Amino acid sequence: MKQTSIRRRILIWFLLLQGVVAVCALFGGLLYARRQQLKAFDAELRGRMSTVLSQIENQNGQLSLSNPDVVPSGHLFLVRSSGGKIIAPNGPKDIISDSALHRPDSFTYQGKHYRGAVWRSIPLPEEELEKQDASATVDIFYAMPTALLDSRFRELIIAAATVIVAFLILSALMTWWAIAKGLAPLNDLAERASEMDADSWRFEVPAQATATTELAPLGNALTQLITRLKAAFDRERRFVSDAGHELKTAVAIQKSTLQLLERGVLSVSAYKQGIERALEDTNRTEKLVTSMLRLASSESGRTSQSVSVLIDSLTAAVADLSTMAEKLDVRIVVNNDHLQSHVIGDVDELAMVWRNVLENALQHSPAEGEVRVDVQSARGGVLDVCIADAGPGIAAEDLPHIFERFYRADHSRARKTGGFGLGLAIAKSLVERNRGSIEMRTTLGRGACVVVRLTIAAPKISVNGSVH
Amino acid sequence: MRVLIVEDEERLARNIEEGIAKVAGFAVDIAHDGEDGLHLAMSNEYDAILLDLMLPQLSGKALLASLRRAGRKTPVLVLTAVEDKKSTVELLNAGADDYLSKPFDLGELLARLKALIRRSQGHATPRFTTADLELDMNTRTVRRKGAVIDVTPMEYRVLEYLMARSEAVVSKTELLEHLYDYNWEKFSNVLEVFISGLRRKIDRDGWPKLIHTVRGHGYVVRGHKR
Repeated sequence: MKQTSIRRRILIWFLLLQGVVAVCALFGGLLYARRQQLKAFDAELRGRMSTVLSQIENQNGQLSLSNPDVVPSGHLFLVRSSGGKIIAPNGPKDIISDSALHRPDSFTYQGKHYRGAVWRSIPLPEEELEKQDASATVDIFYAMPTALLDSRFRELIIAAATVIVAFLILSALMTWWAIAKGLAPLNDLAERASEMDADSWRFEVPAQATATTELAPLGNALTQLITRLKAAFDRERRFVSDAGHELKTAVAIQKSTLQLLERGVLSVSAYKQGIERALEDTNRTEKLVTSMLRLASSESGRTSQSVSVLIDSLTAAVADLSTMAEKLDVRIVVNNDHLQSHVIGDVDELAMVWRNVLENALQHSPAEGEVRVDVQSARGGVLDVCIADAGPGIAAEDLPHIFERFYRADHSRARKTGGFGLGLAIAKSLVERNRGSIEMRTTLGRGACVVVRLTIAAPKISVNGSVH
Repeated sequence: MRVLIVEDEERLARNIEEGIAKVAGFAVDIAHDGEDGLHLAMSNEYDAILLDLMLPQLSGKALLASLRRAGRKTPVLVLTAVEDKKSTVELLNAGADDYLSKPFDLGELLARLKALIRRSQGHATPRFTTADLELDMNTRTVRRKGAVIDVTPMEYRVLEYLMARSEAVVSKTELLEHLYDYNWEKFSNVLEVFISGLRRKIDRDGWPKLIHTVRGHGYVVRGHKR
C-alpha cells in the first residue's frame, strides 16, 4: 500500500486552498484596479473633450477649433456638427473609421490600441450660440492610446503575482514547520508506544499528549487497550505456565511409575500392579489433555445460535454422572419445573456444562448428601438453572477466581479427586458461547450453588411440523 | 538418612518415596501442601528436603525462605516445572541447593539427592571410609579389610548415618530421628539391637574395635589409633 503523509496531505490541501483564495483575491484586486484605471482614463477623456468643446468658435456660422494645439499629438479626435460636417481636425478626415465611432471603447488604429468616447448632440457654449444661429449641437469623438495604461496594468499583474507566489512559498514553509510542531505530541505518543513489547508493558501517555485535546482520547484509548491486552496476555501466559506445569507433572508421574518398574527384579504381581498404575497415570494424562483441548475449542468457537430443550441436555448429563454419584454416595435431585423450556444453547454443549458443574458439585458434597438442580424463570426472558451442593462452600477469597482455568479452591481435595481445575472454566466458556452467563453463589459452611442463566427461545418448528 | 518430600501431587510423591525407600533405603516423610511441609521441616531433623514449587497453602519459594530464615541448613532439592534461567537463579539465591525440572529421571533425582546429603555431611564421594571399614552409598555395601560384610537393611542404615557423620558422636535421639519416618514409634532399645548386630559383624575376630559407645552421649564410628 502506498504510504501517505498527513503532514504532506495537510500541506497540499492548505496550499491548494490558500492558492485558490490568493488567486481570487488577485483577480478581484486586479479587476478593481483595472476599473479604477479606466475610470481615471475616462475622466481624462471627458476633460479633453470639454477642452475641445471650449475651443469651438462660431465665426459667421462657421464652426472651427480656435486652437487645435490643445490636443496633444497622438490623441485622436473628431468634432462634427449636427449636420454631419466635420469641423476638426483639419487633416484628412478618413482616419477614423466608422467602427471606431460606433465602438469607441477599444479599437486599433495604425497598430496602436486606443480607448475613446463619443459625445453626441452637445450644445455649444452659450456665448458661441448667441453669435450666430448656427446649428446648435456638435458630436465630439475623442480617443487616447492605452499603451501606457496597459503596460502599467501588466506591471501591476506581475508585481501582485510575484507577491502572491512569494507569500505562498513562505506560507508553505511555515505550514510545514507548524505541522511538524503540531504533530510533535503525536510523534511522542508513537515513540512511547513503540517502546512497548510483550515483555515490557509499561506505557505512559506523554504529558504533552494528555494536554492535547485531539490526542487525549487516543492516549486514553491506547492506555485502556494496553491494560486490557496486558491482562489478556498475562492470563494467557499464566494459562500456558499452568498448563505446562500440569502436563509436566502428569508426565513426571508416568515416567517415575515406569522407572520404578524398571529398577530391580520384581515379582509378576508387582509388575502387574506397576502396569496398572502406569495405565492409571496415562488415563489421567489423557483426561488432562482432553480437558485442555476442550477448553481451547470452547474458547475459540463462535457463539452458538441453536435451540434445545433443557431436559435433553440435563438428563444426558445426569445419566453420565450417575455412576460417580453412586460411588460418592450423593443423590442428584432434579426439580421438574421449567424442564420442557426451550433455551438458546447447543444440546451437547449444554450437557457438557451440566456435566462439569454437576461433577464439581458431587466432588464437594458430603457422603449421603444431595445435589439439587432447580430451574427458575427470571425477568427478561431468561431461565436460571441452579445446581446446588451441600458442601463446605467457597471462601470469599476463592470466589472471584472459581471460574479461572486451573484454579483449585480446595487444592488437596481436587488432587485426590483427580480434578485439574478446568471443569468450571470449560463450563463458563461454553455457557458464554451459548449467550448465557454463569455465577457462583455460596455461603461458607452451607454449600455452594452454580447459577447458569440461559435465554429462553421460541420453540423452533422443524420442516416436518413437529416442535423441536 | 531421612528425607522430606513436599509435593502436592500424591501419585508423584508416592512414586518418589518408593524410589527413595527402595533404592536408597532412606526413611521418607511426605507433605502435600506448603504449610504441612514447613511444619514437618521445622519440627524434624531431615537430611534433605525435596521441594515442589507450586504448592497449595504456601508456595515452595515461601517455604524455602521461612526455612532459611529460621536458620535451618537442611539441603533442599527443588522440583520445578518452570524452566527459565531467571527463576532458577532466584531459587538458588533463595537458599536452594539444587534443582531438577519436571519431568525428571528418577535415577538422576536419587543420585542428586544422595550427592546433596553426603556433601552436606562433608563427603566428596559416596564411599565413606573409617580405618579399614568401607561403606558405599551407591551399592549399599559394607566392607572390612576388603571383604564384603553382610548387614541387614536397618543395620546398614545405622552404619551409614554413623559413618556419614564423620567420626562424630551421634546421640541415640539423633540416630532415631534420622532412621525412621514420622509414622514410626521410636524405641531407643531397638538401636541397641542394631548396634550389637553391627559389632558382631564388623568388630569380630579380634579386629580393632571401630564402633564405640560413648556413655551418656551415644555412638561413634572411629579408627582405633585416635
